[in-house]
Parts: sequence; C-alpha cells; structure tokens
Amino acid sequence: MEECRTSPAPFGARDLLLIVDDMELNRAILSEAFRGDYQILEAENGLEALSLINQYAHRIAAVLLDVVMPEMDGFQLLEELKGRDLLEQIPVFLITADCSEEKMHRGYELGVMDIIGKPVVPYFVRRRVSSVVELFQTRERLGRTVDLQDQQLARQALEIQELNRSIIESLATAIEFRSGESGSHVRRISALTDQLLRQLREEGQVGCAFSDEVIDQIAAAAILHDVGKIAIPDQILNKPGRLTAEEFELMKTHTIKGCELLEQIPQYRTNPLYLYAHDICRHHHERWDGRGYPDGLKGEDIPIWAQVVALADVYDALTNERCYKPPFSHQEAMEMILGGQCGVFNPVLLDTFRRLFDSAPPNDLC
Amino acid sequence: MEFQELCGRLSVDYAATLARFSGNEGLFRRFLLRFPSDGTFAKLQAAQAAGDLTGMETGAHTLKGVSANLGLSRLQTACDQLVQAIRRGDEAAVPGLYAQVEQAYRAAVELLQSEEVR
Repeated sequence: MEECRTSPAPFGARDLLLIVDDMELNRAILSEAFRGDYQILEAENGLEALSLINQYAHRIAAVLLDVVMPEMDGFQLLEELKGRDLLEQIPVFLITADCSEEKMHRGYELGVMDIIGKPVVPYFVRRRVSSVVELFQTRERLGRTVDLQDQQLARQALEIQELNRSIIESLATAIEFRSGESGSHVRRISALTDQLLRQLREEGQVGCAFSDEVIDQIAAAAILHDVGKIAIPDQILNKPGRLTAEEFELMKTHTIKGCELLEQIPQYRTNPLYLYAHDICRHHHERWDGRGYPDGLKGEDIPIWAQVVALADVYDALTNERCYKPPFSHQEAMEMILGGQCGVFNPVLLDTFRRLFDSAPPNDLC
Repeated sequence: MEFQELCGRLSVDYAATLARFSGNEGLFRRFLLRFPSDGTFAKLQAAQAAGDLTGMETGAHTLKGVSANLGLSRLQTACDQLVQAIRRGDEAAVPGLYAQVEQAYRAAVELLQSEEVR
C-alpha cells in the first residue's frame, strides 16, 4: 500500500509540450496557443529537441515539429525518435508550410500523428493536438491499468496455488495422523521425489526431460500417494503385527480408493497435478517385475513418476519407525532395496538413486 | 496611431491575425513592430544579387511564412508567387516578381518605422 502512495501519479504526468522551430515568431505563436494547457519547452532545431526529449520523455505530452531547420531537421529528428521507439509514447505533429503529397507521405511513414499546415490557426491546432494527446494518454492509462491487473492476477494465481498445496498437505497429514505418524512422511517423500526427478533429468535419462514446473507438480502430487488410506479401517491401518492375507487385500485397496477420491475433485481433468496424483495413487505399489499391485503393471508400463514415488516411499518407510517396525539405518535400507527385499525396481532408477546419495547424504535431502 | 489603424494601413486583417496570437495583442504588436529588423529579406536580397535561385527560393519561402503569420498579406502573396515561379523554372518571371516582393516589403517597413508608430 505504501508503494501505491509514493509512486508518481499517473494523471498530469505529461505536462510538457515541446515546440521545435527555428523561427522565434513561429514558436511564440504556438507557445501562446498552448500556454494555458501545458508548460512549454522550446527548441530551435532537432538536436536541441532530441536532448530535451531524452531529458523529459515521460513528461512530454506532444511534440510540434517544424520540418526545415538547421543542425537536425524535422525528418532527421523523426528518424531518431522512431529508432528509439519514442513515437509510440509521444505523438509528434509536423507543422509545415510544405504540404506536398510527397512530404506528407514521408511524414506519416515516419510515424507522425498529424500534419498541420502553416500559417497555423491556433484554435484548430489546439483541437487537433488535444484529441490525439487524449487518445495517447487514455491508451497509456489503460496500458498501466492492464499491467497492474496482470500483476494482481499473477499474485492471486500464486496464492491459489499455495492454498491448493496447503490443502493437499493438510489432507495428507490428517491421514498420516490416523496411522500415528507425524505428517513429516509426506513432506519427506515429496522432497525425495523432487530430488530424484532432478537427478534423473540431470543424467539425461530417457523420458525424464521434465520442466521445473512438471517436477513441482509431481512432487506436490507425491504428497497424495496414500490419500486412499482414509478409506482403510483404523484396526488395519494401526495394527502393530503382520496383516492377515484378508487384511492385506483390504489394505491394498488404498491405491484404488485414492484414485476414486481424486476423481471427485472438480479440477481433476484439467489440472496436471491431479493427473500425476492419480497415476501415483494407483501405481505406487507396482513393481518392475509385475509383482506389485493393484494392476500388476510391468517395466515401462508403470509411469516413471509412480516408480519414483514408490522408491521414495519404500526408502522413507524403511528409514523411519513404523507401528510394525523399528527404523533401519541408511546403509541397511540401501542394502534391502538393492537386494530386492522390497520388490524389484527399475535398474536405471536404482542407479540414479544410488548416485543421488553419493552426491548428497540422505539427511540433507529432506 | 492606434494599433488597429496601423493594421488597416498595412492591409493586415487585425481580427484574424490577433486570433493567430491567441488574442494576445501585446505579443502580436511586438512581433509586427519588430518585423523591420527581421533578417530574412536581407538574405533574399543577397541571393538575388548573387543570382542564386535556390537561395532566393528559400528566402522567399521563409519570408512568406513570416508575413503570413503577421498578416502582411500583400507581401505574403508576392513571396508566394516568386516561390512558385522559381519552383516551376519560370526564370523569366523572377525579376518582375522579385520587384513586387521588394516593393511590398519596403512599403510595410516604411510604415512600421514611421514616427507615428514609434
């Protein structure tokens, strides 16, 4: 808010009129015509005019320009202004006794707004200049308004995105609380997924040329991987010992339940985050050899983002305490994963996973 | 002599010329009385003496602009005719038209420098 008050007022910012003519009499007549509306700047030739325009570019409402002048003539000045894109901001009027077709054509080609014949009639000059100046100032004002609105929209979009993300996190955390965990599991998985995707991209692995935006979306979607656990009864979810075959079958449905839940979200079809989340929910228990669940997908049929989250999920489950087991060390967890005790993973992904831990200790990741 | 009367004797359209100065009679008067010291005619004269047609065209063109602004319509018309003749290459007409310019100029200057005005 402070910013708004201290920035220069958009209105009345262009309070100067520049008159360029080598004849004092001509300048005096034009000055007199516009004295009531503007502060008048006068220049005797193009060079003088150019230095005034450079100095006051944001305050000059219009330039009244004679053609024939010593030093730099009107057309040369126009070329200079055109080259600096100033004619878009400041309307220029040629004031000339020579209204031949050729001269007028050249003037308009160079971007003058109007050509006014000498000797001038102040009343008409004022009318013609003021209507164009009004047009320019309205356009400038609208342009500024649109810029402000764009900034506002971008800010609001970001707020919505952050809100969206925090709702997702709250939901996932609430589900984790049910399993007696702290909620940090989903955040660690999200961070590990992010790191793994970046490592895969950096190594130039096939199908891993993700944009930063896509990586952000997948990492956010990873948070939702276990959202289907909301449909799993407490006594199964929090059972300290081994699950029976029947209980395990029920537990496995959290993948499909998660997808069903996501499908209830209105933005499901348009927001890529939910499409990634859908794949991740459904397939984060698939294994490379086809012995995972629920679909028994094999190899490349499992979307890479689901493979990455699956690996991150397993690693994090191993290295942290669960109701049914104590935490394993990083070394133990790596040996178990690489030894196939947690199912078979994509060998390329495992290599990348190992290299990731070579370059950054696991503690630094999350 | 009243300023308006002077304008009448110079064939200056007082109302139209005053409007050109946005109704500021002081400014109008100042520039009209300063006209005798304007150097444009001297440049035209020098170009004529040197037989420099381009210089004459420029001089006559500038003088035409000044006289038009000041409402000196006879001088303006004479200058315009001279400029046109030079532009269309009618050299035979130039001396006669130049003489008209000179005559109109001297008549105006004589009036403006007369004791009555001062």
